[in-house]
Amino acid sequence: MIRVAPALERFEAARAGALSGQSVREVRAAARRLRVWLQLSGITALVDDLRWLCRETSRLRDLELFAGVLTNSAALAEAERRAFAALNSRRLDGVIVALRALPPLRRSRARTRLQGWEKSLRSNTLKTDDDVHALRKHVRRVRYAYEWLGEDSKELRRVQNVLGALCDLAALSRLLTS
Amino acid sequence: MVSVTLIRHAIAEDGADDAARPLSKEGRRRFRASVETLERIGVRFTKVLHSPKRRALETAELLRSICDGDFEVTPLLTQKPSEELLALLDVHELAVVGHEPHLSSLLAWLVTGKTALAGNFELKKGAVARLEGDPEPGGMQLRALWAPRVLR
Repeated sequence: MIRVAPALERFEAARAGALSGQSVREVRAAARRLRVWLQLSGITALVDDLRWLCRETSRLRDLELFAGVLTNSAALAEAERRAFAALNSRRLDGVIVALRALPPLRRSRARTRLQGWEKSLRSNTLKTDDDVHALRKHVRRVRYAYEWLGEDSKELRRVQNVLGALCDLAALSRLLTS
Repeated sequence: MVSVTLIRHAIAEDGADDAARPLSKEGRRRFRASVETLERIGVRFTKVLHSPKRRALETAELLRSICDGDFEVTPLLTQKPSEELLALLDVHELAVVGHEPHLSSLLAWLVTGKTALAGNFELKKGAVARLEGDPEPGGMQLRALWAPRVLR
């Protein structure tokens, strides 16, 4: 059985950290790990809430990432307002209450789902920036699933980092344009 | 003007931890049949708002096949209805999955403007109430109130 409680504690600590001025990066990563746990469980309901949190904090994350090259205090203030509203929301309180009430994930169920994800990962083709972004997300999901199952995910982490660097360049291009 | 559908969670198992009580097999089977009926009569949702308690979450999940949009969890559905909750209802074709006695209070508040009249709007487990109008006290009309056995 795979319990969500330890990851939920890390998520709550990251949430508190982000609200006290630390980077939103940790809370976004913690939210994605929880999302993968839900997806491995076959639960769809709270996935939207965690996806919403990542969406609401994405602008702030981009601005944090390129803080050395970009300075736009108005954009930063707006991104912080949006991110903090999400981090302070009752919706997020609800996610935590709901996750605490869920039963542990069965390892056999997780393995079956992971096999399906691995199969579709192998069939990816890369033609556009969007394909790279989609592949990065797919790799990250499989990597987090490995982590939940206690399996070695170093190789996937390396692939994810390379794809992440490509996606960060695309994000910088978007920010410069806007 | 919006259409809001209030749904009481399906039959759940007993348990010491109220928030963690799952739906019973029978509750799941019956509510699945209700969802099939809703689908047959053309009911679709653009969003599902649900309580964080496990039985409400599991009931909400059974609505996935008739929802085209996002799911949102809110602890406001485990409390007396509030203005803050009403602000979340301004979505056309919204489904709201919650608990008694708060769901009946919300229904009475939306239809009559008075939560004290909740006793007139009994919602059995798995019951569905369709409302239309503005999601403010006394601003909505009750279009249908289906007991679970009617939908199965």
